[in-house]
Amino acid sequence: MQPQTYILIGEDDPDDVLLLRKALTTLCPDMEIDVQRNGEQVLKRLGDSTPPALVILDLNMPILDGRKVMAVMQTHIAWKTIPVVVFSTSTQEADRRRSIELGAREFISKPNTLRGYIEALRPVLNTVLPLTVAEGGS
Amino acid sequence: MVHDVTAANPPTPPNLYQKLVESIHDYAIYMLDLSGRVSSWNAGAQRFKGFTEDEILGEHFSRFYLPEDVANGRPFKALQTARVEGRFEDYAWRVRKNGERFWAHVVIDLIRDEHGAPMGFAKITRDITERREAESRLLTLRAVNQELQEFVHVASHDLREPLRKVLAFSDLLETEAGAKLDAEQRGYIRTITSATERMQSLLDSLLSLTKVSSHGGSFETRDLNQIVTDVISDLELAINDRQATITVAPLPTLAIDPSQIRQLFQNLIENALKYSRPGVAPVVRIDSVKADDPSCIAIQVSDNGLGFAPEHSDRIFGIFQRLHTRDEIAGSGVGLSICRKICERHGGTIRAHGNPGQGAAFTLQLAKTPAINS
Repeated sequence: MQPQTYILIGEDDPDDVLLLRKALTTLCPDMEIDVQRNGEQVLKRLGDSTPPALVILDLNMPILDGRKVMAVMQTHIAWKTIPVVVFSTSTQEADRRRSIELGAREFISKPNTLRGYIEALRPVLNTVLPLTVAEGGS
Repeated sequence: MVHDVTAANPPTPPNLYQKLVESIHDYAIYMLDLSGRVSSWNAGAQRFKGFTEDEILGEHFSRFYLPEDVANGRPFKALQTARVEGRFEDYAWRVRKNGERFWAHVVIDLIRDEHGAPMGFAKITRDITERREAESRLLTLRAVNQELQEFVHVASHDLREPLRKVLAFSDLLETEAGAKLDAEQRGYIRTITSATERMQSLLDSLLSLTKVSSHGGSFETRDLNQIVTDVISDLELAINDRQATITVAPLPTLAIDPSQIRQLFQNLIENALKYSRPGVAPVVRIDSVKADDPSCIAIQVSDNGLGFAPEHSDRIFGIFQRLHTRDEIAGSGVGLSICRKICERHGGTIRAHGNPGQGAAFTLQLAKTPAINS
């Protein structure tokens, strides 16, 4: 596996971006993080650069939502294999199932605490970036 | 002018049937000749059309129609249909003598003589205005109810989001600034957190209450013993913890929404464990009992716990109603509301019986055959 470059976040809620950043910085402090506020920008960023190590998507975003982003990624040979994790306010089984069908590795209902974010992201990062994830946490 | 009624309707000796028809009050039952003129009249017709026999005999029956219906030829079409097909039936507005409208169920039957030749029409009209009004009120109520449920569902869903933020950022504050705060100040953060968590669990309860009717599953025939056994095994920790004994009598097999009936028994057993008397090991009995309603089966869940005053036996099913303070016993006050909704969705009821210090008993009745769309 060639060295990966960055983690791409598609999230329109700045509070959640802050929590995600803090969690990611705790787990892999040296990883570059790029934040886009809607699905269209996420796809644009994917087209601009080498593939990210991981895409973290919110389901409900303006212009193009997370589901559509995943659907587009599935049709693109270079994007199809990029791991995607969905962070959503939804706790609905139907949303989880649909996200997995669209290629998401994990569907995570947005946690109540920073620790919750860290614990939800740790196993994902362990598979995606086996060597860089820091032990412990906040 | 005097109408010669006998010409249109040859006299028959008064008999029992005629007396019967004349005395009926709830239906207008009368005859028309082939041209549509009234040739007999009864008490029911007089009662809700308002005309006496003298006033109406020989008059054309289009007098009972709205002017616009007359203009559209509806009386004529009705007679024509009855003549060709033998019968005409309709639900429509009609007019009383005083001009008032009423919603009528109308049947016109062609009457033939002994040789098969048409001789007139038998007309039966029923005033169903009240029923129509009741039906329309019911439809409105259903729509309002549906709207309310959707509102609660959406509201409790959207209200969760800001709460999650309050929790996440209180947590962040405590994690990052906790060391700079004194014990009292850290206590403030914990108060914010616990109040927010409580709000969250209230919203969750509201959501699950609205889901009973809006997100119900389909009905399957299941052995209730198996359902109760599963619930008891899920609650094993709590049961062992309280050294509780649960006895289950043989229960019937029934068409139910399995996940809801599971929830029903789980709520009732959890309540029995929660409202136990201090120092007394809970004993919970689940029995098959005789149903008041023959179309239902009945099950009683009884315990030896705290019980409640009989005057509260209705109130405890109300939403967010609690008989104990939160310090005494935790709970959202929605569990029994959910139980009641589940029983109602299963075409049944739930009733509570209790006395302070003498335990509580809940009798649930569930329909043997589930009602559709209940």
